[in-house]
Amino acid sequence: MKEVVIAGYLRTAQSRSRPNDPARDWFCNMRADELLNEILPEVVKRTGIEPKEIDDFLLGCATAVGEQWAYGARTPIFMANFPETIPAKFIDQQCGSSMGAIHVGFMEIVQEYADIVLTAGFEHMTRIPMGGVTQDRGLVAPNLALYTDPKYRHWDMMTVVNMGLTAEKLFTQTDFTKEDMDKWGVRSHNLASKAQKEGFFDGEIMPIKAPQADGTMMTVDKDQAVRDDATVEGMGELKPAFKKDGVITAGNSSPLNAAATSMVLMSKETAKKKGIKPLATIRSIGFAGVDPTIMGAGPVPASKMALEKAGLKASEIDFWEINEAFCIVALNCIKELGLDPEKVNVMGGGTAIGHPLGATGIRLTGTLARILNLKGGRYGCANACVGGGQGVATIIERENYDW
Amino acid sequence: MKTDYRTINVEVIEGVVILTLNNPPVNQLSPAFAEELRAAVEDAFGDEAIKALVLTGTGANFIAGADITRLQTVKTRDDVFPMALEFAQFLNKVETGPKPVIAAINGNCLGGGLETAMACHYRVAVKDANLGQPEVQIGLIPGAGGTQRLPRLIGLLNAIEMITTGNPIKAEKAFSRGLVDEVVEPEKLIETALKAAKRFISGRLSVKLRMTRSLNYRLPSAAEKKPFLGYAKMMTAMKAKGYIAPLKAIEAFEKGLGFDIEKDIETEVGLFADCALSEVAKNLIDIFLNTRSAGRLPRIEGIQPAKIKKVAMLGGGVMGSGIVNLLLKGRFEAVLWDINDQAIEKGVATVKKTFAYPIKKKKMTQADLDHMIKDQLTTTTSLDDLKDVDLVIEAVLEDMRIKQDIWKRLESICGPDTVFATNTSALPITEMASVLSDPGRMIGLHFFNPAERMQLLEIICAEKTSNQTLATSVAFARAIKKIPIVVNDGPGFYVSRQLGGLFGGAVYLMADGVSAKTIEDAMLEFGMPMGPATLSDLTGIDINYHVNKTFERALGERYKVHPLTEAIYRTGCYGRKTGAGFMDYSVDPPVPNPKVVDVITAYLKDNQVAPKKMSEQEIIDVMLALGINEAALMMEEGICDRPQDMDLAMIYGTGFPPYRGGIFKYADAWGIKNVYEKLKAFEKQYGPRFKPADMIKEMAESGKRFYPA
Repeated sequence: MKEVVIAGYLRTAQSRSRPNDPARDWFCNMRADELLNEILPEVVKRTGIEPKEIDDFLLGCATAVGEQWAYGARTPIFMANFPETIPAKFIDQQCGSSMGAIHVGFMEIVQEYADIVLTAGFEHMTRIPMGGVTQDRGLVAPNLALYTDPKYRHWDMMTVVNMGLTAEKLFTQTDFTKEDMDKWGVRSHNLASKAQKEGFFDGEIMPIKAPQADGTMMTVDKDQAVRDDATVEGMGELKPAFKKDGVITAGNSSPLNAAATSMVLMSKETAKKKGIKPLATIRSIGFAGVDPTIMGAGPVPASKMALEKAGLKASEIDFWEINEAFCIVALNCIKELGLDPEKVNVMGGGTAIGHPLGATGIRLTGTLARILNLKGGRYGCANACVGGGQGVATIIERENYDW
Repeated sequence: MKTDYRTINVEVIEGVVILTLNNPPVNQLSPAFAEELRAAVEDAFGDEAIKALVLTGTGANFIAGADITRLQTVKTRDDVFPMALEFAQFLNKVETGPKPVIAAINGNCLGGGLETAMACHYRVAVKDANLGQPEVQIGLIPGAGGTQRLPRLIGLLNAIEMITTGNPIKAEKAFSRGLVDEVVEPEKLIETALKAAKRFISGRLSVKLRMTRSLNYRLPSAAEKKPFLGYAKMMTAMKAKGYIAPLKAIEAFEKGLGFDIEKDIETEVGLFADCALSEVAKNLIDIFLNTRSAGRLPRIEGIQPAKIKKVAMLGGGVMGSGIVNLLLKGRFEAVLWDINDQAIEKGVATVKKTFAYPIKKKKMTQADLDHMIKDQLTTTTSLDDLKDVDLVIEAVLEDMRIKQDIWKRLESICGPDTVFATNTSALPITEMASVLSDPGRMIGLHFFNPAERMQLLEIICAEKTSNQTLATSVAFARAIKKIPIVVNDGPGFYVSRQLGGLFGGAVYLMADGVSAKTIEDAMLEFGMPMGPATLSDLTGIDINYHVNKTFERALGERYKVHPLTEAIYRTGCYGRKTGAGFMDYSVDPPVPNPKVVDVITAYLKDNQVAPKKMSEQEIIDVMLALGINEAALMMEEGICDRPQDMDLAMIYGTGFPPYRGGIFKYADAWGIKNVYEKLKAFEKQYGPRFKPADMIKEMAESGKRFYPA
């Protein structure tokens, strides 16, 4: 058994996706694999390893259709002109995809089947939108029996595939109000905006020259959806996004985004041998299945599992990154695990920074590791809810790597 | 809503209006028709009782494209751009309009038809319908959003293929590619379309999601567009020589495929206008329209062609079997006659061979062929068995006596209305017919090899050929899907003599020290599928020699065979069939045949001619001047009189580059005065072969053209 460290982390900015108005997405003219191709060689270089030393490449994505199909994660290797000897796996755990990649890589290194694993995630929600046209054109085609056969009625697939409706349902099962959610959303924007201004994210975002819809080039170096001017009043005026008298709005849920993320995992031994200073050590992982119509509850059991495996109590965790697919997910997790809200999403969360589905897991874990380093915390837990009714969690520890 | 449109039938069923497009013959988008379509759609959009629209067509066509006759006359951008843009913008309105529009594609859905269908929100097509953007085939590109909507529906890779080749696809393939949503039997078409309309009305289908413009997920990224279109451009440029439209289409992809589709469509319309104004498009449009009207001669107007059901083919050689192939495909009863059982057996085997390619390509099955042969083909070695045929096509040995004997015997066997057609390529048909008591029933049907594939049928009227015989022959040509070009009897008829004229300058150039290879390259550059030497080697240097000798005998001094031709003939190397001609085919790739090279070198030495470098254009001038002169001479001699038909004959019979419009077109573009000046100069240099025809001289002096200006 080996210990696993995060030896490198790099991502693109997260542009704001608009499938119905593509031109406004700063990355509208770049494919997800092209975004990834900007950062992969760079993260390898910055970590201080050679591509040929990579024992496995794991790519997470929630919508592997159309141009996001990647030949089992081999085409990114080709595009980067990395050696053909790097094997690859494409990992689809929906919104947990790239955290799933971390988990698989973690286990491969722990079990000593691999020593250095490059993990990544990508998602472009303008070019490959959720549902909508992709579903209409049959690119995404769930078995219709699940919707129509009486023996499957209890699953309530119509809700299961609509994340907004699952959030509405989670909301009804808690004591939170719409205002609580809106406030959390505003907090998210405020914190993210502050962090952006203080340059916190510059340490993880690689600026990218992106061709714009009007033919000009733009250097994209910050997350597009973060607002400087978010107010509770403003948020309160937004219309329900998923059902008529619903409470879930654009103000208390994550936007659509496009981004690529990457993380280098390696055994602590190798990091030491190479003199690489890790960001953190991965202590444990957790994953759990829940009722798919309230998938937002997933982070709770997943975090419990990770805590148990690490032998830690929730109160021992210094910082949390809870994916704000919806604000209610974070609020619910805080309540169920008895957390101090001040330790959660301290640089803002998904509502502001964004949630490019398959790319998010690495963003959460990487940002968390950097928060631990910045603020001097020891333990951190990143978690996310997952469409289809799952939760994923990862607990990391910042140690003194005095080599 | 209003229901009394001239070209559109209106029917409302439970809140859904069915607009049936009815603009005979092929539902072409003429300006008036387009205007009515716009009015009807806008009317339906404004009528509260109407919740959805179904567009369909009558007969075999949904919409078979735009009315291109209008484009023949356009001169300035203003004649094209505003009108095209207006229609494109109408389609934008259909796509973004307030009500679902369903295309019920009942048949050919081409050009503007497919563009209309793609602006709809749902497409149902009948089995086997053709869908395509054939514009490049007439020198144009789609001009109503085709280049921007097709890639969104079927991806750039498929779209670029369809648009740059112009080849349509069948409904089944369109379905598998996502271009249509359903494929149904014709009787289910409207029912299916109405069902789709109901799904929109009930909210199960969304107009917003179904708008083609919202399918951005098929658009290439900037970084993949650049190398991919660069590659496509390179590949297209290699194939497209002389044609500009395929490259303009790629330009429409390059400049477009962004997120503002209406802006990109406007760009497309601009590029469409560029094409429409080009000489190439005008030539191709003329060819397209002239092809449709080929054979419609004043002299046979109003004459009802005789019904042809049963056809006898005399001789089962290469040409005969190719013709039998056409008879079988045309659903005729065919009787193959040959001199003995062995020849018959060989003939039937050769007929089967002509179907090998379509079977290999899965266009038909072996079983289809077996059935065809069983049901439609009989064989005989007795002319007496041909008494009930409607038409006899003869392709026996090229011997006047043998042919005349057969015809004489058949005249006593067949009924008085049976048409007698000879496929001779060199013998005078008037003479052949002279043995008949009714020479009016005889005509020449000159097929080109391979008969089952070449599109041209040269129809030769002998001196006494009756109008009825001609009318029946033209109709028969159409029935076997050939383009009929009618000419009068004369040595080599039209095509062979014209080709002889076009390539006849080669020997004078060689004798002037120009290498055979340069001449070859120049003609390829000009756009011919092969040069004179390659063609000679293929048809046979001996055959060409004898044909030239025939011309010399029949047409006099001007056609005296060149001494160098004589010398090359004497080498005994006759081309591919003997293993070597101009080229030596015993090695791969072939090399110049040393024997012929030696003969040429010796000739140059004897005549003290030094090897000469000549530009491709100079070579083309010599070759084309002679070709044009030959055309004029044939008009003077009364062999042909319709330049537009003659140009088609060269295009379909010899592969003359369509984008150049034909020899007569080329002459007009070059300027007859220039042709005349060149010919005079060449006559001085090369002798009487180049003496300008009187007609050229007159035309040059009076400023006349072959085609009306």
